[in-house]
Amino acid sequence: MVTLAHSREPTCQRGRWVGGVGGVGESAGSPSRRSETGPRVDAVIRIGRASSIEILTAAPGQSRDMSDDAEDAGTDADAVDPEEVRHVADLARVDLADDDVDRFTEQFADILASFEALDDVPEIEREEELANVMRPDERHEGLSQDEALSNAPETEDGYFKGPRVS
Amino acid sequence: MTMSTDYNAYVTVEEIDGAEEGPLAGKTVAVKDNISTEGVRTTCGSAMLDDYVPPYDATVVERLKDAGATIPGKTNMDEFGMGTTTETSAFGPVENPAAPGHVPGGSSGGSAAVVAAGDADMALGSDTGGSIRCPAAFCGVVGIKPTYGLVSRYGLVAYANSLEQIGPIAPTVEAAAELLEVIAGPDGRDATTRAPPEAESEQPEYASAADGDVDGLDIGVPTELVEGADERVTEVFWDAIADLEDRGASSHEVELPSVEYAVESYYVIAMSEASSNLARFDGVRYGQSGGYDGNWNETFAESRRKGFGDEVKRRVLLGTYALSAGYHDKYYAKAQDARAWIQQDFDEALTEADVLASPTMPVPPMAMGESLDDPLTMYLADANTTPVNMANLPAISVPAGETDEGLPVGLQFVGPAFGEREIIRAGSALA
Repeated sequence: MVTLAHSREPTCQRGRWVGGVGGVGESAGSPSRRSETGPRVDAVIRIGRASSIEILTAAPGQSRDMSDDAEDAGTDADAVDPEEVRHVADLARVDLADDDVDRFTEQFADILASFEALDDVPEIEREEELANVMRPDERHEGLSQDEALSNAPETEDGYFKGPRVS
Repeated sequence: MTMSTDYNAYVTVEEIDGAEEGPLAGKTVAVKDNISTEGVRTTCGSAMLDDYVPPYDATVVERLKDAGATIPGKTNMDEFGMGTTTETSAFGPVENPAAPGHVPGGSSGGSAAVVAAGDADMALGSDTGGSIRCPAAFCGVVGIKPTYGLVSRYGLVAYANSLEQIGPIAPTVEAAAELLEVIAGPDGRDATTRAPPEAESEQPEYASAADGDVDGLDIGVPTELVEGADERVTEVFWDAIADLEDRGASSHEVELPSVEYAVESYYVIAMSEASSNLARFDGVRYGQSGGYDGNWNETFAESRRKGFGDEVKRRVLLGTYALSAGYHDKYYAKAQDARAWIQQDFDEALTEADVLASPTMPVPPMAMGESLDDPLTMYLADANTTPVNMANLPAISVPAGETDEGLPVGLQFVGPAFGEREIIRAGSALA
């Protein structure tokens, strides 16, 4: 979970998209970032100045909400066909060349077949010894807006600039 | 600059100076290129980040500088840490200076290579499923994968958060322990860090444990981690165990039935976390934008096609698949069960032994180019290292000798959580 100290007010502005200033070097990943499947165009999120970034772990412990995937539920996983590879690539936002699809289909069949071994793993009762660790909620210096934008391929007026929506 | 460029071990050669005084003053410590260095590009071995310049230092880099170390450059690695040979880097493969024509192991292959070649005194790597211990073993040097939570991951570009730790690579166990002392300890910027439960201060001492004294040490040898290994490796391994027994240690076999599922469950978890972590590379905030117009999803997909190499695409896709509706319970949930089982097995085995020992890698270093086309075979080479990440435990790889062909063989000691001193003491008897 990446928490930004300053609230990110969603505002609308044509043709640009701004994500949070989640850093490339953060030790955290949030599965929820991926849920932008709908036609969410024209949204802009303003970056707070001097956002301080607090890092916590976030194992992707929940299933992504992929409603268009629901019909796949419970189907036979043994068969990986090129269409399935294309579908997953689409969900993962990775464009694949045709020969990539063929190669991956073949390799995924082998790899997923090996994962079948996990069917034999017994259900394990976990003995978690976890304790919450708290700290005072204090404001710290963070990245400046310029620093946060410094690696963006394109920016405009202090915003990340996304692809033009035609 | 030096020999190491022949091995393609550095992605970027740029000196970063540390404080004038400190425990590492006068020492060079090379840093793996997935660890953020303020103002010095950090590529993760990926075309996606070939011009990414972090605006801040990783906590471990701050600590190196405060300790007086000089960072000579950023070392080559498998793209985003995804590989066992350092051949998946967008900047070309690294050659093993200790075994020319062979891979240096991965994914921290550049870090192990510069230490093996004598081009840096020490180096930092990161270990998600063996990425410090494997190259240490293949290059004939020492590598430590710390207990999960001992070293801050702040500024480490995330691949699989729940598994990875930054750790030291050095020519000797004592030097690796000195470097571990500098980087270990809690960090307010990584909430998973903690002080070792028994430490009197937050900075425990490790180098003083490197006294080579194994008299009375009880070594458990997990049969599952030796049986499947190449004979050239097991011969060297058993010779090293015999050597330790001559010096007062004892050994006995232990059973870890769960490790049979370690590689598969590890890859399910690592790929799942990777698919989430790498979602941020969209060509807008960083990465290759290409300046495409039109549908956003297609634009991001185009950027990611160009920016990511094959192994990264494979893992992102398989992770997406494993987490998707309908398959989550089959893969991800079962992998978490396997992880809990592995943890229980190790805890139990470590009540019957002070440390566990196995070959670090079940095979000697592969010839360059040999394993690239067969990802599954490459994954299976991680059989002995991945269980340790799944169990969150500390482990060290130390040089145990060489095969008849002169290829380095590493021996791995695994200790109880925060038992770094135990594995350092055991390892120091060999290197």
